[in-house]
Amino acid sequence: MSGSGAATGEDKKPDQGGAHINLKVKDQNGNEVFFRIKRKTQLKKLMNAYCDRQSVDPKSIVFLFDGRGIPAEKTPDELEMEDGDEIDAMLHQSGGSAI
Amino acid sequence: MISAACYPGRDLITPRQRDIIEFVLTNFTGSDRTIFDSGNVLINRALIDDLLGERWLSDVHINTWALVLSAHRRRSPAQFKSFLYISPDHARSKCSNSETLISHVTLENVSKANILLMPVHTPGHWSLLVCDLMRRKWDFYDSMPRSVHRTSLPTLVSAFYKDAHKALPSDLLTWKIEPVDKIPKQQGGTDCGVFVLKYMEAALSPSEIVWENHKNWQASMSRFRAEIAADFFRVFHEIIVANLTG
Repeated sequence: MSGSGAATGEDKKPDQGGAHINLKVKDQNGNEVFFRIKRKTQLKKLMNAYCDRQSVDPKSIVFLFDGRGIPAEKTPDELEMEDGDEIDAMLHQSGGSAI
Repeated sequence: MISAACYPGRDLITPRQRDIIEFVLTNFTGSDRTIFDSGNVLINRALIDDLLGERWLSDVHINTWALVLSAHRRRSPAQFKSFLYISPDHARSKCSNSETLISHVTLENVSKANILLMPVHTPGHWSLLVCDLMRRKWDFYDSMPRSVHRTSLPTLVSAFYKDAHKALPSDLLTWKIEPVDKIPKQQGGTDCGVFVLKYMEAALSPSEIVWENHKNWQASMSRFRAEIAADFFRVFHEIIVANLTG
């Protein structure tokens, strides 16, 4: 499955000032979803939009950039993300033993 | 959201532990609020609420505990065996970057370690595999022993060996995997993760653990969870201060 959309709901005019960035979120099965957000927007907006669209509990997912977890408050600028960068959406491994 | 005035282990810990938990719970609100971010540890408020609120634990809790145990060992080396931690993230990653998750498993680091700690995830369950490099065997700790928890172990060990063989004893795959019996077991369906954290701590004890003295961990779960949360915060604080002061 793949889709495209703007997490911010901003207009999609060509980006002249470089204020926006296109990011790809890839899940464990290789499915990709594309997002376009402002470079100074907290990534929690993208994460929440992704979870909404995929109908998954945000608590069950960890978002990784270059193998490291992404703090929800960080922006693409702060993480020095570049246009077209890929974010991995992995399911947390969790357990308690309700078997 | 868990309240600082009311969580299960609150009255079972020291005033100091209570204070540090209260500080974090009142200052970090909102479930995705980041509390600590370093290396493979990204702890937000929701994860702390899971820990204090008697819910399931995730890989992040276990990675964080490894960080806590390293800090404890740095402070009192005589009270903990030297260890290397193999994150369950390694077994999960089927992709090309699996080697980078165990890049600390080098010949030099293995030669300095007594123990490899390798938490094991099977769907819905945590258990712990411990490689005793001195006795040349594997010990398997399972709070709810089921054969299905053991079936994945040979594959797990092979996958680890495949990525780290240059640093490991060449006959590692022939070492026996023995379930540790007499260890405290869980009741109910939520605490296997906490048992794994406590097993990790016990595996690092330089003296032999007399398990008969630790029969009833289940009854202490609320206290353990609150103590663990306080330990997390103390170590986060130490690391943040150390980073600030260079």
